[in-house]
Amino acid sequence: MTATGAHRPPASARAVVAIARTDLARLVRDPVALFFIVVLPVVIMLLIGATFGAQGQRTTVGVVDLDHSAASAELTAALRAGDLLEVPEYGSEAALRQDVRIQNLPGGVVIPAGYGASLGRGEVAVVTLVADQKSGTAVTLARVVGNVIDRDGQVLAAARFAAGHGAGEESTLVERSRDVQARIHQVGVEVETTGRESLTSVNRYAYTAPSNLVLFVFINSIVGATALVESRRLGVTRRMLAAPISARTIVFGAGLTRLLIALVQSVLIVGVGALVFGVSWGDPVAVTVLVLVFALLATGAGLLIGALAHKPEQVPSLGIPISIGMAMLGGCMWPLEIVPPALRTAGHLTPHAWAMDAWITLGFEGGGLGAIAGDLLVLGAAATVLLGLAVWRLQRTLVT
Amino acid sequence: MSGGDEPCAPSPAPWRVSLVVAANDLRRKIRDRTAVLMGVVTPLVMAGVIGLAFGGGISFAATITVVDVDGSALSTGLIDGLVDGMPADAPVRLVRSSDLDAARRDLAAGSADAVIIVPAGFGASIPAMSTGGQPGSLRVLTDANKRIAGDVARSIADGVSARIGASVLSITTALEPRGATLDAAAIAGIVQDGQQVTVPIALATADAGDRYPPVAYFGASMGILFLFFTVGSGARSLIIERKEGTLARVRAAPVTDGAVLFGKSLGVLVLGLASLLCIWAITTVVFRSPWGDPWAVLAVIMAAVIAVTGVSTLVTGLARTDAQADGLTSVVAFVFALLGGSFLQPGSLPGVLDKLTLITPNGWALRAFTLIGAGGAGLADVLPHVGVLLSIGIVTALVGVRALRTKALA
Repeated sequence: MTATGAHRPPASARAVVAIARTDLARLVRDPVALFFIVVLPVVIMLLIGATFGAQGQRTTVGVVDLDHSAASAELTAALRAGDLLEVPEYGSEAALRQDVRIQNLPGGVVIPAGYGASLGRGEVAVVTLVADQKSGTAVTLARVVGNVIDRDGQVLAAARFAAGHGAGEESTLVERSRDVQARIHQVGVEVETTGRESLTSVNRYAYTAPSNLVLFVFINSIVGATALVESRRLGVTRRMLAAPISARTIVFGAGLTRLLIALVQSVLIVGVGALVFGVSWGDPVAVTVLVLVFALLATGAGLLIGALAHKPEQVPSLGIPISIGMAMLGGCMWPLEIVPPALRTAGHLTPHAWAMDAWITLGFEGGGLGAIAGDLLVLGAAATVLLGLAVWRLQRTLVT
Repeated sequence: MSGGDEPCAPSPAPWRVSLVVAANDLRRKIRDRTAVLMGVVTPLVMAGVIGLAFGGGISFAATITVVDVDGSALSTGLIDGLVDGMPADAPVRLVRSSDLDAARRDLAAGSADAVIIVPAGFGASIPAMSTGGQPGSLRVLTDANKRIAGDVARSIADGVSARIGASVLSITTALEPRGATLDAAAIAGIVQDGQQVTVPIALATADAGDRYPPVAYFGASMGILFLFFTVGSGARSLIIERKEGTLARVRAAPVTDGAVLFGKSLGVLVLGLASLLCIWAITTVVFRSPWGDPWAVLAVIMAAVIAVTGVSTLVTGLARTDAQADGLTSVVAFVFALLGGSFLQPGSLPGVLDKLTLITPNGWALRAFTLIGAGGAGLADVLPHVGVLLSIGIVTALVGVRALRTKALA
């Protein structure tokens, strides 16, 4: 610091601000950069939120009726009766299986030929739920379809039982049994969920918003390094050194620009998330610290790339895919709790995973600054190392 | 066209010029490692990561504790039926308990994945059902992080409820119109028999057969995403070469503009094709994730490369500088990838967004790949997709080449 007066800021500080201001002014005139900083994160939040939201709506279950009996028509009608299921009819089991395989359809019910006849003989008739058994939706579907089948089966069982005990003709007893069913209260099943809510059940944007913050702040800091590489290659930084400012000042100026952009973008995503999508981010103090630490980390990564890359076009062409890959590993595309443990461990080699852990603690578990201290420590240490390396390296590359 | 004056050095045939230009571009691209990195390595790494995340599917096993707080004859009988009825090799293990606090602790500690509770007074509340009384409820405790175990526990509780309902319904239906006329022994007999009634429809589950291997799907989707960058850099080189004066010098030679442009496009097409073919080969051989009928796959790959090349040419044609072309290409690549469903498994987009995928070449190509890979479709089944992709490619390429020609060669 070279203090020149009691009131005016030191010259190098003014130079840092001037450099940052110029950089920002250039950025504002670049529509493509603005698209990536402002528009894309919000659009992606919308899209992914819409995808998660879709899971809460009606489930589609196909049905193939190979029996064409009154009983099978009755079961199909029962499947359609509730509000839960949308039930398109398929002509053949092959067509239904094909749609399940290409994931056009979560699952389908096959009513086999002879279904009505087995019921008529008093045997247990078996219908088959075709679904991708490797996915969790198969279990949910089995429960929903099972409930419908149970209710329909109860009526048939009761009518048969009553007829067997001399109450009358089975065919007329079906109607009476249905009336009784409508009147009696079934045993309820109350579900109590412990632990934190599932990551998408609270608010469909609750996971998408922080993950997009982490993803985009990091990508933009990396891509922002392009300008620095270009300045180095064109000799702009060398010419700046002709002015009475130090290499350190130039590095800090560039760093300040990147940090400001990262912070503005974070504030934008937090703001849009909270105001438009109704995301509750958690304790404001902890959120502020986390945003700041992650912005510093992203700035450090960006500056380091800016110091190391030789050609400006290399930065986006390698930086974007690598950043997206890191985001995937780090849980920005899907929660790490759904991936195998080994992949979860590997994911924590990226800063993204630590940041996402902290966001989940804040937003879903109501934790505060203390609860994310460990994550902040890791992120802070990584930020310090990256910034230190970048400043050291840049000071040398700017001069030579 | 020159070539009227024979005595001078003969000018090379346009196709030779195109081939030389294409071969030269390809050589330079391959020497620059970025092309290999962007075209093959990165998409494969990404497909591998996503494939690992989704590919294993669920390996499910759960321990569910059944707590009998009620202790009535009914609850004991029900729980015996449940525990004894569970096959030994089932992925779900049911454990009896009478200590609710211990069960809660087990759930919190993770040694139980879900808890089913038969509450106090449950057995006593059932007989009133037949006269419209409200029976007690079963309770299920689930851990938010173990959704599937929770679903299984709910299914089991639902099954118990259905069985009780079937008995009560049977007894009520048998007794209702004439209950008063029967003697006590007959009623007791009906109630006794009614407790054995079970639901006569059973639900079996079956797998739909092999779905599209996630690594193959995401190999294709990421391959197409990065195709935009591979191809975009080829089209962009035209702008750079004009800036650096290379094109002006090339045009001093007896070659036509058309031949040069065609050569450059050819180079880009071959590069794009090579990138997708590599991804296809590597995912098939190394990751053991077959894509399906090879002729159909080949046709879709070629059509997708042509479509993306066309779109990239258009994007580059619209840009004024090479930096702008770069930026626009990334924007278009990512927007198309997002809209086209490249980052999601097929079928995970809701209705409108699912239709929206069809405004992108990514969406058409992925739909075709899914049909081939999971649906067993052949070349004939994906001809419409191939047709759409080719049309996208040809129309955008024509407009793009016009724009580039006036820009780069003027």
